[in-house]
Amino acid sequence: MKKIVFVFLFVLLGIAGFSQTVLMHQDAKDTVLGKHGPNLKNFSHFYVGIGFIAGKPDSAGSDIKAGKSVNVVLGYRYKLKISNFYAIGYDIAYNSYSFSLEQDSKKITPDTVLHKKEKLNFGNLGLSPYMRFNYGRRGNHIGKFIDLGAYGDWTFIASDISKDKKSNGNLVKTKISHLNYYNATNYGVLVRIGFNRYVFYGNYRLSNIFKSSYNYPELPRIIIGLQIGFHK
Amino acid sequence: MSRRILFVILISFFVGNIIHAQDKKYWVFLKDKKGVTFDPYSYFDKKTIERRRQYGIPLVDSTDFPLNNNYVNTIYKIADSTSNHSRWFNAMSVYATDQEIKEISKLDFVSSVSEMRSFVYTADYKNSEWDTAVSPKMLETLKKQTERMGGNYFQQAGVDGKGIRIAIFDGGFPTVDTNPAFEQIRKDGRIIKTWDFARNKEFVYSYISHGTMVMSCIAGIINGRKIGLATGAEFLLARTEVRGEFFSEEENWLAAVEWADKNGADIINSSLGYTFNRYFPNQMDGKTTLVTRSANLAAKKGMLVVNAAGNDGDNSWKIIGAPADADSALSVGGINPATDIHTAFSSYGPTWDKRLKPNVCAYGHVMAAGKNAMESTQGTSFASPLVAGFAACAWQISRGLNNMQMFRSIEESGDLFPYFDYAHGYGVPQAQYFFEHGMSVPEATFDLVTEDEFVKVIVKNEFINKKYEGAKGYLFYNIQNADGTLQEYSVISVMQKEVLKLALFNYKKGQRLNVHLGNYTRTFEF
Repeated sequence: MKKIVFVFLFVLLGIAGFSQTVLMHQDAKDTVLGKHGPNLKNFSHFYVGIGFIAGKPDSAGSDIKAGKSVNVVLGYRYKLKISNFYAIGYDIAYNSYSFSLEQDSKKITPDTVLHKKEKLNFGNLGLSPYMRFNYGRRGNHIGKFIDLGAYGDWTFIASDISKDKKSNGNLVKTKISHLNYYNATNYGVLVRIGFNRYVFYGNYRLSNIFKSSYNYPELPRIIIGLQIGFHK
Repeated sequence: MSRRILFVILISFFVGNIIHAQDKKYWVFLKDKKGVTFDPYSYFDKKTIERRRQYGIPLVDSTDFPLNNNYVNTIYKIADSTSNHSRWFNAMSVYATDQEIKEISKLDFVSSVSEMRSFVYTADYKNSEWDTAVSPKMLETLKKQTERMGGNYFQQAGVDGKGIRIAIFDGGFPTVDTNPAFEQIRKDGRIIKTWDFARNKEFVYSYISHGTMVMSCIAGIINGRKIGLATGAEFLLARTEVRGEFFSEEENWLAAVEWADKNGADIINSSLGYTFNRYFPNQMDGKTTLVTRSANLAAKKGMLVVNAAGNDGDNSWKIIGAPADADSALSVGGINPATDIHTAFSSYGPTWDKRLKPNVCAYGHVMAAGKNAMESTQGTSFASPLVAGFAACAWQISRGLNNMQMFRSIEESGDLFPYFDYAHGYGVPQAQYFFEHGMSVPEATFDLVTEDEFVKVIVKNEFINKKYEGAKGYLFYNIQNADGTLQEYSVISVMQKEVLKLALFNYKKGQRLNVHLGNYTRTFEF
């Protein structure tokens, strides 16, 4: 407030030992409808999610253990409301894929050596634009929606971690990094069904994780999971 | 690969369609009431008829007529099930699928349909021994919460709201049928009717204890000490809420207000509000929400609607909710007994269209009779019943006033009146006003002086740092625009002679400085 209100503070002036106290002050101008809110022009929030990698590899040799192959995501989501029913936006997220590889006679990815356990881990930074279709009546809430979009990931961490039990009973964990058989970028499509802060998501990877020159059967492409948004 | 993509997308839409295929709840508004007949004498309680006659309100108008049965039956055949009807809005609530509601909306006699949200809440009815212990600190708070409104004036005159019928809309009234705080009310048979609008049954003595505490702030007595002022009033108890204040049912509120009218209510206390879960701040304009329109209609039919301002003052919503935004609802804000000024959570006014709200205020931190014992609790939910109890007493001794005259009188009895702001309204209503037919001429407590480019507020010596009961020791000032709205307002403690100095050049012609100290209000025109 630019208005000058002089309340004589004698304590500050050193004249007297008491002062005025402003117990309450309100500007009555702040009833302007804001532009930032769950159902206003702009909205952004953080979210976390966990999903499971599902489906079969493109061909035998890259089978994974269902339930143990997971996707974890920590992201920031922005939404621009176009109409009450339609919005667009984007996510920026860190996400990781952990493929728990089946250790059986068919295995050829990334080699045919069988371990007690083996995981291929990828850490990515992702960007995903999306369109949002809202349905149902709502106040200043995210409400119910279906998102359709695409995503692009840049993989900056990749490792092959295996565990073996030696004949003396010791467990040996081996981590191989600087892998040279994966593509650093990936892309796919996504769909989400949301109920306020709870969002069921599904991703389908269109690109191949492995470089074609290695002839590895491509890993399963579908992820199904749940995200929780940090908002009301 | 493309087949898989298609599969994922189809699955998602399939799930979406399952959600859509479920029944939703709608308001179906009908075009007319053709061919409907209505007998007010068999429908209304005699108190309703008395009220309407006394205040010159037509005994019957079109809103009182029931819905056309043919229309209702036609809709009933299409929809899965129907719920409440609203005579006032010529509407019925129905559960219907998307297909069914499309069919209903095409009917000739349907003017519009509007989707609702509903939530279901259940709670067990379990009573344990009620603890009547009241500590000295509790007693002190109890004393203050009624005395702050001049309750002793009513008490000394034996005024307790006798003959006034109060409808309370809330989430449940557990133990009101056994609670010692309501013993006299039960003995006298002054709980006239009850209805659970969420479950369509008579029993309301369970669920959320909020209603019990609210009722105690109107009429409870514990160990001989009044919790609220209207201990002699009659009651209609309506369970309208199914899940506390945030996820609540406006539909039940609408049905309850018609029920209250039918059963002769003079006052409705609604410690409920509908805000961000459904609405945007710009819809708090006194004409958008159905509950707000319904509150205004209730006032037109002669009832005084007292509504809590809301508890959003310290969050992003900040302003009052519906139906506290209604023109004719007496909206009640909360003050803190420790400071005697606005308590942080109490929602602020004005309405979106800049009308003054809240209208008055009362203690928002109270002692109330809970489910099993006296409890310290807070919220404008409890300021509202304190004022509803006050209104019942005031009306008992001013039966010549109609509801809106009583509304204005309660505003005028506010200890800040004619000063107001958007946190306190006109201040805390004072019983003295109704005995002295207005307030006595206040003593001048300060001067307004212009000097050079400034206007100064100079407090008279005897009022500097003076210890008063309540907020009388504080100086309230606001800057009022030419259109009557406030630009800003403040409360400051008076510790010295020159308490305020404002530079004239900062204000426009037509703006006013209103200052209030110790019952005395003066205005300076810029």
